[in-house]
Amino acid sequence: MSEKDDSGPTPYLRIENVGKSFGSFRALEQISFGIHDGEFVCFLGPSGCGKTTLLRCIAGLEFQTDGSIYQGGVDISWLPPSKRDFGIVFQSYALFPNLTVTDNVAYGLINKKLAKTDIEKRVTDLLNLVDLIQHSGKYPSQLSGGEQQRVALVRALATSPGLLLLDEPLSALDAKVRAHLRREIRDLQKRLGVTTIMVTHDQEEAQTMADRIFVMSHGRLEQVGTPNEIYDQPASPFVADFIGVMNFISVIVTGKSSIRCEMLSLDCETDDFAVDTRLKGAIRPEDIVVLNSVEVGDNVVETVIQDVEHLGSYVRLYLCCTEMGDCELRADVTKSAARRLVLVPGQQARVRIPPESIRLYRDDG
Amino acid sequence: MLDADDWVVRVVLVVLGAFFLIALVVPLFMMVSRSVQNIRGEFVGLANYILYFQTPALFQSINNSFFVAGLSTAIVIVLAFGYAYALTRTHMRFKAFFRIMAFVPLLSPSLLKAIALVYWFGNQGVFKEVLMGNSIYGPIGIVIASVTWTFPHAFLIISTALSLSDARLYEAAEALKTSRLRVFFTVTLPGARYGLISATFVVFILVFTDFGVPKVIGGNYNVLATDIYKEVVGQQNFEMGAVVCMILLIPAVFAFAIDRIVTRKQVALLSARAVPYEPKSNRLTDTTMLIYCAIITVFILAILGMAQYAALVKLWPYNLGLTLEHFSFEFEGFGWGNFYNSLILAASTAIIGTALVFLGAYVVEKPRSAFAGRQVVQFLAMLPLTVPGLVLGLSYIFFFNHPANPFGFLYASMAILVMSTVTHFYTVSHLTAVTALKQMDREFESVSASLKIPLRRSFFKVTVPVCIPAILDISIYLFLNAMTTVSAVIFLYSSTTKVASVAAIHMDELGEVSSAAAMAMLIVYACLAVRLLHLLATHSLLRRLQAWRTR
Repeated sequence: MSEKDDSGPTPYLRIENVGKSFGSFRALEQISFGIHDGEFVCFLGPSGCGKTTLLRCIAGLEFQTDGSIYQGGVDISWLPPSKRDFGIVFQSYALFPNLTVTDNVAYGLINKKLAKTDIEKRVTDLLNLVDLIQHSGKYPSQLSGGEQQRVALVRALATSPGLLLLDEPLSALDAKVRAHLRREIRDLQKRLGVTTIMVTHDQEEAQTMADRIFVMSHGRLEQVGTPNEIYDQPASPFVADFIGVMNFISVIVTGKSSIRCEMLSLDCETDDFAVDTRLKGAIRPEDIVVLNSVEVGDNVVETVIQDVEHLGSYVRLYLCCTEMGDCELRADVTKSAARRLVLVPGQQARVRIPPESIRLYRDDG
Repeated sequence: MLDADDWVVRVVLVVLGAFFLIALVVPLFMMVSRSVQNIRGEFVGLANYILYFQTPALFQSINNSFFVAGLSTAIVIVLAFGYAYALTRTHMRFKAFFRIMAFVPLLSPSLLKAIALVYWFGNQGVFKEVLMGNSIYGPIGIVIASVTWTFPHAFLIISTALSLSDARLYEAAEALKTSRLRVFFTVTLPGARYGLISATFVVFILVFTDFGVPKVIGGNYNVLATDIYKEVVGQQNFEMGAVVCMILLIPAVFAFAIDRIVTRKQVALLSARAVPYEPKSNRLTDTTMLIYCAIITVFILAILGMAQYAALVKLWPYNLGLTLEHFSFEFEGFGWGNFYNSLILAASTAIIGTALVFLGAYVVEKPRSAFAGRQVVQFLAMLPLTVPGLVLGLSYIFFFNHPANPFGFLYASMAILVMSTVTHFYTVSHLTAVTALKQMDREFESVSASLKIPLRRSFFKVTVPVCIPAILDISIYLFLNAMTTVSAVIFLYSSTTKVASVAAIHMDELGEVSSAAAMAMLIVYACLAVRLLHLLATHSLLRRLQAWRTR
């Protein structure tokens, strides 16, 4: 599924029907989209989905087999990287080990035939921007991972490129540093207003940083949308499962507003699906409401608690539902709510599945 | 589609391809065709080969070559393994010293070991009785000398294999209460098996194709290498020389192919995550291995020392006074000029060879795009290792002497010696360069492209500085080998370009053994001096660049 961006002004970066084959293996298939000037976009997907290949095609480090790429209205489809306008940060940073931080950042500026003082000023400004000015004379091996990453970032930005490409820049860092750098990169990008594409397999990263997320799988674009759209309205079971956690149940349509899962009937809008159609129902763990002994509501299900996971600010319950063919449901309960309930493995729990929280998808096997 | 960088890479690939064509492929092809021609240049099919196999005196050499190569290989592998084991797997003292000693034989031409052995065990040798009536001339001498000069090569390969061991394997074996002997046979030996196999084949090729040792100490024991020399220089029978060259080539190619297969498997072994092994102290083992290494070192030094003595002693064994007269080389056609030629050859080979090798390795390894030319150059770069020096030399005679050859003017010049030597030692240098380049981040070139920096700029600004240690290693390798090689140059020198190693062979031929020893010792001095310079350069360079190397 792809989404053409026809609204508003012409997109800064336009990809049209790009495909890429490696021998007989199809790495990218019919990719088309547009990215606006100043947007922060994430290519998100599991390993092997083609997101890095797509990034490299945009950079010119690979050439697409079919389709075209336009940047700023110019057809760059067949230009070598040196003739395109982008900066790139790799997972390994690729900082030149024998050059100081200053020389690394100034590397791209030397070629522009600027006056020495201008180069110095630009490097100083950039290093100040990422709070690394005190390390300007050091070598990369003397810096921490997070510091190296920031040097790589400003090196890429030094030449004021029209496009900034980030290939999983945070995956080599530990969790705390990663969380901190996410904000830093985002703030920097907003300040400079440079169009940015980041490749990542970490959906939390994509959700916190991107204006729009491009979810990819097996070389195709599954869905394009804002983080909220992707989360709340996943377009396919793949996206539903990949982003966050999702419960899936097998259901059959029994009426305009009802479905049946094994022996249990549930209220749910079925839109245009015909009666007796087999579908997949998807429910977010946080949408399932755990009731106490007296509460009532629609779509109440009797379950047995199999396991309880304490995950800091919330509790995840693993529920076994006999009425729905012994299927497992995960339900997330806030810490405060959990305190009011008795949640112990082996205990019975009555839960409510709000009809509007059930999303229906075709069951394609 | 292509930018300036891509064109530069293409041009370099073409230049390299041309180099290999002129310096390797075409000459070899000509040699093959000469082996099926008669003296008038007419095609005679396999007539020369048939003649060869009908002459017992000639093809007996095949057996002899296999015998001495096989025996030497077996002995040196065992000795080198013990030495390498001592240096990597025990808590022995003075490891650094013994490590240096292992490489001493690399400083002198192989013929020097042979000369020293004659003084030790020859007819007037110090320990003549040790041989119990057998002569040092012949297989005994060839084997002992061959073991001595191939020791460093075997040691290097095996010690590299042994030092790449995973401590976890030993800890696991210990937890299972395995005896030390069993650990040795089930963990240590299998872990080093690829290194052992590789060393075996490498040493075999080296001894099988060596010329200097059997020439000096072979006596009447004929091997293929000396046969080629006799046919070409003695009989002027180039066609038969070509035939013997072909026979020499086949086992070399075979052994090389097996080594390549083995090495490829070893690479897979190395990429696994391994924790380096720290040997524990064991009094008995450490002392035993110390004595073992000491014995080997004494032997190595005894060879070198006797060679030095041979160069200084007035007239062995009658007049044992010391003199420098053997260093004057007052014979017709010999002199200090030979030594200077060696220096020029070695320096040129080191400088031109290193530049060519490094550039070649770069265009094979680095560019993002997959030019077909890269695979071709990669393959060609591996070829020289299979070609024995004599074979290369003879094929050069055929190629450059050919009347229709536009490059014919190169014949009998220093340039052809440099070309031959660079080609002969190309492969190992190439592999060293490729290894160093592989260790650099793959994405440097992509980053440079995104910053609009041309490849040639980042080549000099980043690639070369980071690879300086490897570049120095390649240049010292080329220098030492160019100084000590005989086989690559023995057919190609002229009266003005005769080098020291060849002069030594000739002086020995004429019976002037002391002068031969003296000339060979000059080679040793030069190699020693350059080795020390190299050590100083590496040390000071690394100290200056240490800032960015420390993690």
